[in-house]
Amino acid sequence: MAKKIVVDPVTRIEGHLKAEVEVENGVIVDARCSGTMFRGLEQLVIGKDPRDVPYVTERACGV
Amino acid sequence: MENQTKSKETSLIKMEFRGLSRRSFLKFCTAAAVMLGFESSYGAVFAEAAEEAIKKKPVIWLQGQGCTGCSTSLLSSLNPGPAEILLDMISMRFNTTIMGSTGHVSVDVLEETLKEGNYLLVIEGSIPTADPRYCIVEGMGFEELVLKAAKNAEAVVAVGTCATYGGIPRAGLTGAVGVSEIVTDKPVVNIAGCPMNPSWLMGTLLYYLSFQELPDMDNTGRPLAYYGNHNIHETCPRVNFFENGQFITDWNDPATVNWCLLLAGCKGPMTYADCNRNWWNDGVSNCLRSGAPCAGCVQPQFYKDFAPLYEPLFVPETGDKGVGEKPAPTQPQPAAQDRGLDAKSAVLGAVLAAAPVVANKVIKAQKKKKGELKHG
Repeated sequence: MAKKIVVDPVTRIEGHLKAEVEVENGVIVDARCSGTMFRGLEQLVIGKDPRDVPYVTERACGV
Repeated sequence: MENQTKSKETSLIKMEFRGLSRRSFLKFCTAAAVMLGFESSYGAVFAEAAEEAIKKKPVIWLQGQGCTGCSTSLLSSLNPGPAEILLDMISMRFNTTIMGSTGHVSVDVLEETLKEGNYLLVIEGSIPTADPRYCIVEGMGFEELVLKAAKNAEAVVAVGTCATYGGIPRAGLTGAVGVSEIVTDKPVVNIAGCPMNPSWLMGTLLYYLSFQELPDMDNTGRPLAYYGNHNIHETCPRVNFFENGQFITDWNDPATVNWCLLLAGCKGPMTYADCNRNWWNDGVSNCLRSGAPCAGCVQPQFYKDFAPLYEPLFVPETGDKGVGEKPAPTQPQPAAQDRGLDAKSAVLGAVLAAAPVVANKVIKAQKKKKGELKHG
């Protein structure tokens, strides 16, 4: 029987991360990571002045 | 009384242990008091409030659609440094960027603090309304979590322009909004900025710790002392060039390097913050001094209605000879809603007018204190 370990939230990182690990007899058989936040920065700069793009996209991560 | 003295001594020892002298701590408190319009002697009142280590206010810091830039800005504060802020002034119970615990252990701390109540809730990052799946924290939509956390909070502090007005995410497709559109039954103070200046947040927290109420705000919910009273354009070091009609139009011309940035897209006339008085990075510089036009990052219009950032939203009228040769005749008059002020707060906003209001509050606080002493 696989044991499922869920770490949500993963701290000391920028953003939102959830990690799920399945362990069977002490061996990891499956693992999933999900980033749980979306802003659509790529979409929102479509059609904008190209000089604005570095200003906006650098806000992807402030750390 | 003995206990109080003891706790004060302990907190002083703690601060000295971390390399913050009594002198520099008082210096910070005095600076914060003066910024908020108090006499410098009220630095001691602020210091006393900050020193009540035993009564440290629990703070929950939640992150939505943000970039953690505001957390980083707070942690880059030098005087006081992050250790003093986090260990002596407040009790930071939950902040996913800096907390030691992870996973369900961190969630347990959050749940426990939520049950205890009487905490300050700090929100960083916007709240998606188009679909809760755009931001999921603790397995629930961020909007749901914010409402849950705000229920027992004493006050809600929205930090950064994302959390205050939606900021950059508001221009996207996730229906991002600020905290004050979601939380309507609690006092919300907006510390706008992309990111916010750490002194704006620390000053507001110190004010709250000292008087148990939020400072006077403009009609966009920002503390007047840091925002509404200061127009970027009026306090700009380049304002003389504006008045002479000298505008930068060619970025490659070294002769015009110090000229007014209005035609390069500066949003200074529509922006209210004390950046020109209270420089960034612990007093090193600010955007205008380093040659960048003001992006208006503290305004509700940012970024959606201020784009494109490097093009002027309006062009001042010029004489027959054109821009750069004849003084510009009129100074742009921002509309009332751009000023972020209603009539009442505009009056309060004037430094002189604000003085008696602030003085009243101090007297009130002192009376309260005296009363407590009599009974105790």
